[in-house]
Amino acid sequence: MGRKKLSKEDVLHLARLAALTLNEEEAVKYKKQLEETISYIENLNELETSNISPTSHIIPITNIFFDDGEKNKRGLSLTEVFQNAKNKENNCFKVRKIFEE
Amino acid sequence: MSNYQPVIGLEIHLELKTFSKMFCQCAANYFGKEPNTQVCPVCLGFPGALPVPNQKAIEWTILIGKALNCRINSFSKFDRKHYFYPDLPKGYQISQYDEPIAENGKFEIRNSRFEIKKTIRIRRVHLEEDTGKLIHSKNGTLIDFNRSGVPLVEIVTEPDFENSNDVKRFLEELQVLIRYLGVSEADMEKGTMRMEPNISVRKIRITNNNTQNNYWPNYKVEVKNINSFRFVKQAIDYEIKRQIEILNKGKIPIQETRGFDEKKGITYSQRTKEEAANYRYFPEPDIPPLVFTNDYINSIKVPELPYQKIERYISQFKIRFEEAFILTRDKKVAKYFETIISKIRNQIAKLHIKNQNYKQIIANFIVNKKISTQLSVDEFIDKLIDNLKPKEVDKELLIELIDKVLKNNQKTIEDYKKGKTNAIMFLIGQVMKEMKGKAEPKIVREEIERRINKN
Amino acid sequence: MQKIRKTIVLRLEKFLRNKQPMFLGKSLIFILELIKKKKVSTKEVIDYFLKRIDKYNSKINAYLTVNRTYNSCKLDKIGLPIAVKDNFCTKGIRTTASSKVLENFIPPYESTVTKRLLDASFFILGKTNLDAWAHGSSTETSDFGPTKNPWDLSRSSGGSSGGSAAAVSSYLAPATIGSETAGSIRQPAAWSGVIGLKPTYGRVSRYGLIAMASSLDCPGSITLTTEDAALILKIIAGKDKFDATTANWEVPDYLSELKKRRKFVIGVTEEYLEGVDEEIKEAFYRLIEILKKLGHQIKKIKLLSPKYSISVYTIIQRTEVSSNLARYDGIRYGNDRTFFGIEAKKRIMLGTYVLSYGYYDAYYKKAQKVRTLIIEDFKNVFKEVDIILAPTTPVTALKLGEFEKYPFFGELMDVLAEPAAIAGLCAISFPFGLKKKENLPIGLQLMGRWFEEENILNLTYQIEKETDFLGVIKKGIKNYPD
Repeated sequence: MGRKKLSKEDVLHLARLAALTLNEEEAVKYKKQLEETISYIENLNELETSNISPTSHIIPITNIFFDDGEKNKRGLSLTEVFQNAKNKENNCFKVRKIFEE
Repeated sequence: MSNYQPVIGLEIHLELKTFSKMFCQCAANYFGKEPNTQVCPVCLGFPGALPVPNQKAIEWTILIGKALNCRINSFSKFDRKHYFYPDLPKGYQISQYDEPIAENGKFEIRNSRFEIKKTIRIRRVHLEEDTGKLIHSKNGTLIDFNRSGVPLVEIVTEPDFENSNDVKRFLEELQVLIRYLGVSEADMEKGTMRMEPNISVRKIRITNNNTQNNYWPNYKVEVKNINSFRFVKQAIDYEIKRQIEILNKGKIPIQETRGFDEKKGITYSQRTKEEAANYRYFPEPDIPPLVFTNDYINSIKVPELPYQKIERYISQFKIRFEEAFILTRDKKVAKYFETIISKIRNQIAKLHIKNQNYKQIIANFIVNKKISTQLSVDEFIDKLIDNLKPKEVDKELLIELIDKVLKNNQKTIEDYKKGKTNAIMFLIGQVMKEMKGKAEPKIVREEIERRINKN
Repeated sequence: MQKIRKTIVLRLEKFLRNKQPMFLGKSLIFILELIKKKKVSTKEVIDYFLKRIDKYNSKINAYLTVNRTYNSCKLDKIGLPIAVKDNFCTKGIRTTASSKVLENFIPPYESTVTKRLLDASFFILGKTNLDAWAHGSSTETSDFGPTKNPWDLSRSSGGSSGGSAAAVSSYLAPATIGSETAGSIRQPAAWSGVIGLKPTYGRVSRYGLIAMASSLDCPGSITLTTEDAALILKIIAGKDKFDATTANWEVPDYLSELKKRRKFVIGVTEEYLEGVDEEIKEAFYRLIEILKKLGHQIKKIKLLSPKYSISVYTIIQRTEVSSNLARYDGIRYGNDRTFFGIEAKKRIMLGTYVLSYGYYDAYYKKAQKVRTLIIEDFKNVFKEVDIILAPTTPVTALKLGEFEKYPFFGELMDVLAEPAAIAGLCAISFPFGLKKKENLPIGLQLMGRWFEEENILNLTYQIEKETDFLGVIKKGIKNYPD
């Protein structure tokens, strides 16, 4: 297939993309396991699929909507909204200061 | 010799004014509401919550696409667009990637005679959800999710613009169009209409035998945080200038996202533009695909659009372009005008206008605000008839006032006699003022002339 | 004198009642009858199970949270107790997905499955253990310790619905709700010697089920009898307007469908016997003979090798999971992403890789195409047969700690379950005999056409009535007296 093997940097990059923390040691360990998995899943290339269309939904349903203005049965009270939040202020969720602008 | 030509494309976001949000039944109108009071597990991205699309939002997206002359795809779907940010509760935005609802349309920019100056191609119109709002506090950032999940339509143009004036015209016309469709407030200040231009500059090299070699730029700069049409022009002009300066030095501007500083009137660097692939798009598995039959698409009717109204007013009603343009800026005013026109048909005789075009007259009255459009149609018509009645002149009073004015304006009379015929306009004006408008200017003029010539 | 005598008699009766296992090992339907006939009250039933949980749960670790609020809730209707896998959001009851990320999460809303159960007067006994985020086939990746197999505490109960299966197997609940993405109900049911039903994808609402792989997740049940599976399915199945992927398919009366005398054409295939333990194969062949005797037709069929399903599943599952876990940032609830366990991190990274620039077509799209092939394969086969019979797992319950030896542990254990899961078919696993030396349950499965749960339930019921599953379930519960 000519695929480039995963490097430690690749693994660290993936972790960054996925907002995960990995130290160098973990990166090396996971690199091996990820590489094994990727090699295995390439067995799909044994199957001919050029004329096959992909399935993203098993059950052939389409056009499922709700009517605009329908009664809202799931609105949450402020207590419910914040009962699991660690940081809040003025009825807002709070995070460390973000510098944008 | 090199010349530079700007290459500008636009990305516009419109918040739809549906009752409910895009994927849940929370109220979509969040303006002025207390933070986090219009939320549910879905728009807060709670574990286990699932999206179900709002039918009206989809219908309105098709409507916008049709109004922009797009092809409506018979098969469409939602996709997940991944990135991490505190105002994005699921860690992905449900949007559309490779199969948007509408594609390949066009929208015309017109000049002051409303003739087509330039056609801007619309690349796509798609539907997505809005994010929460960040509020900066003293020692942190606060997040309000009332806006999270509000339906957002994104319109992307091809980079067909070459100057900031066209961009401004385009946005103004688009705003009128969207308001005509009744699908969004399209207000830049309130954030229901947002836009981001992407700007590059290309070199046009004219060689010795006058052939043009065009080099398409391989970078583009996106500018964010422009909050009004006025600033759009400023931001674009500044950015073009900045890029030309860099190109003149033989360098290429960095591909990035820049912010716009209103106070200083400049753009500044923010972050490098992410490649599309980093969003790791894939089809939204929680939402079955959308299939639009021709019957369904045809059933969504586009109302008469502003430029079509103008054309009709000019050709059918035979009114001038200037008034037609103003009347059609607001759909409500246009409707008001049209209702008057149709209702007044059997009362035309009362207008005492002989061969004049009553439609033009009515147009003038509205445009010049001579009669208030707050009145009901019937009230307007009554006032109009009253206004156009030939005024009964108190002849004695008129003569008295004319003499008074003439007495006080001897110099003007001399000017008039010397051949400055327009001087009489001043005298007429003075008399009209004294008469408090209760006189026919024509008759006043005749009388003044008679008295002057008498003396 | 009369009064004192009466009091003594009443006290004695109560004492004797508490001594006898009045309904140890009995099904939901049996208990329901008792309650209706006023032989026992709902409160007594619930107290009974709470007592058993207190006695045995520390050994087995089936429950993560026990709901002791019965006394304070006004349930004077006929109520049946049920335990729920801890990846269903239960309002007011801690829900963790067995991850430290959600260690203290109290959902402010109810999942549709538990809401329908509550509306049908069920009482939620507690939340059962699972592999963290439902990633796994042994419950060993739970951040709160593994669930032991009631048949042998040195072994895994299977996963990811290990807690649910173990709870039923040791009668710490008469029935439980589980979820399956590819084997997560059937495999632990097989390893723990109970019945596990995975309905057709789209049959039961996923609203409130902490998402793992959105296009694969199916809520289902783990029970001691086929009737109970039918009872629960009738309650939880059906279109839900909060889940756009639920089908508007009519929900039959599964209980009455059970009792019909039906004959089926049953498909069997060599592909599903590759690498399978000898004794499991024996059980499989033994059942075939019984089915023939019962008048069913056995037909040899050919199916795509299950090995491709492993790749398809791995890719689709990792992709969807990496996306579904993106919402856990600790801002609105839970702890931040540093609290993810190793398995979760690995899966997220692989999912991220598969979707990254340049790889989408090669992996994700390819997997979806092969998925189409697998679905077409089943469609063709189901033109010739009504039901497919196969072993549920290639081996019986493994010892705790063995999963680390295999990079694809889960996928290998679930290899016989993955094809049906990828195609979205309905399937059911039931116990059929024991592996003699180790004394471990053997599980066999039936796979049915989309939305034809009544077929596989009907056949399972016939097997139950004819063989009593070779006495497996009763034997298992004997190890856990009151």
